[in-house]
Amino acid sequence: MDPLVRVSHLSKHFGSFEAVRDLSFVVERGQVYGFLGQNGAGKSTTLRMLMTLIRPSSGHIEVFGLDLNRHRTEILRQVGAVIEKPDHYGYLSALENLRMAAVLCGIHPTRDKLMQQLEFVGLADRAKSPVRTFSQGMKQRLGIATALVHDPSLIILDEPTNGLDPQGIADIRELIRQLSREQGKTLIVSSHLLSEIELIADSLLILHRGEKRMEGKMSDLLNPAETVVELELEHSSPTDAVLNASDFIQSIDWRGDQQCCVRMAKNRIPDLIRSLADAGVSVYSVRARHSLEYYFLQLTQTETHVGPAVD
Amino acid sequence: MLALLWIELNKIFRRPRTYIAFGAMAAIVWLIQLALYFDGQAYVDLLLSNLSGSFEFSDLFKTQLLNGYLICFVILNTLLIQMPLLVALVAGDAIAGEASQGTLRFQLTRPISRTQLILVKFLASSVYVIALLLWLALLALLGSVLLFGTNDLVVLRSTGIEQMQMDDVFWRYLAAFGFAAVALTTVAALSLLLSVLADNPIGPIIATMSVVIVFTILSEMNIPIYDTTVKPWLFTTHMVAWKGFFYVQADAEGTTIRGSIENLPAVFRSLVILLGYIAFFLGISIYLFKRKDILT
Repeated sequence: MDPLVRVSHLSKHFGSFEAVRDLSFVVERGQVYGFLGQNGAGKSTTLRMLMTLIRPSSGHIEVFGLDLNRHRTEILRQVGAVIEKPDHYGYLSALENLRMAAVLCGIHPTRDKLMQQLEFVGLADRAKSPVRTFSQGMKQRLGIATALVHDPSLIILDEPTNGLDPQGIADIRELIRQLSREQGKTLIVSSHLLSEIELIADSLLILHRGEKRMEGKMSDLLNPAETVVELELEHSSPTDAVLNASDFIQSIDWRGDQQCCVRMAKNRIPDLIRSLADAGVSVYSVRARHSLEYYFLQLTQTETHVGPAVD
Repeated sequence: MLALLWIELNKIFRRPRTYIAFGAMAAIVWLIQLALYFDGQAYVDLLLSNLSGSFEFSDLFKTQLLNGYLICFVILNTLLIQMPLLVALVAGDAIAGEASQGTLRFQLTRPISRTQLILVKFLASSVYVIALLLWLALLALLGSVLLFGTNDLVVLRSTGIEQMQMDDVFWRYLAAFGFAAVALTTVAALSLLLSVLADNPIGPIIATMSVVIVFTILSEMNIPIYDTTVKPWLFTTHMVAWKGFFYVQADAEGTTIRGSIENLPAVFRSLVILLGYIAFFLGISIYLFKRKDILT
């Protein structure tokens, strides 16, 4: 384990509002670390604290083994970030914005080098256009170019696919993969969409109302042995008999008379359906979700819909 | 630091709205010059009418009075009151404008310290102030001299008139413009401080003007208790001390002493007080900015 970012007991209050509460996590070198949570969960506040835009109320942040508070400039030399939405100087061209970002990082790359960066994010042909004429997707890509201009080891992208069309989302996803796999960068990427994080992250942290709710490696969290199967069927004695007799079912949770969620290994779903059919139970629908998706849905539903709390 | 300053200056001078100030100044100067070019003698008569009881003025004197140096003095008197607004337009935007556009994040996620950023923005605002004054000097001094020629400068005061020989005037303008640069930089520093406190540039610009207007009114009010307690410490009191370069000493026969300044220590005191204000505003700006949460 080679920790690049170590956050300990981080909290941030805005008056009486607690935006982040006692948050601790570790990001290892070379990882794509996903930050997942609804809007207002505390993702941006945490990332802003990592970028020293916000002062923590308490807690400690260490990056590259250095205290962020004491070695801010030294650390930021190796960090590139796009926080919330990428904002640039609209009256300047993409090339000028990129050059400005480079100078702010203390480097003076040649025009060719800058053009290469724009080429990497697919903006070389618009290098001289004023940024105010760019679409949201182009601004997002320019934001990533400005974050990468000084070749940082750690890249922080806050909701990088926000406001993008499907092609734009796919492009950014591919860019993140490239940065991670081909260039060995460490990335912290936040999103409110599990489907996005799932496709790019090696590790995941779920934030909810400023608190950490789940953390782990995606390979563990997406373990097929931990699948939640949502069944739509009659709640009757034969149904109970089958479910209770199936030793591969880890837990049973009835939601009303016709909906039941069971936790089990994915490869045993055919056995369950067969047993129910043999017992004469009518099954109207079967939907398998991995436990992470189920957990996240429960978390978001408690916020927006009527439903049982998970914790 | 120089590279950062280059960036700030690039931002200021690449923005079209920066040139509104330059355009507005040119318009005012040209309107004054135009009016005086066609109807200058009436203006001179009006100026001298207050003194006609105690002095006799020949027609030659009246003709010579209206020259480039006098017109520049008139313009400075008029414009140096309005210029704080033009300075606030840029300095008030320095932090709050970037915060409202989100570009403050662009800067603060880079490896530069907040102290550096404030200092660079202050320096850039100072360069803008100097550029404005150079523009004013070009239009008001050079333009008026070319249009109206040069002659002795006569400045009217409540106590009488001050007359400076033609070849004893130019350096006074250089000193006055230099002093005005410090005075307007004080306004820039105040505006920058207010900009740190806001996330929208309109607030700091209006607040700067409000402070300047209130302080100017207090400076001009004739209330004895304020004369010794409040007025000496208001920066607006000292902003007009540039006029001191045009108040001269006279010998026993009443002849103006070349190169003299009536009360040089008072001018220096004003300069020191203004520099003190700049340091104070800048220090508070740095202190607050280092603790500011960037939420925009």
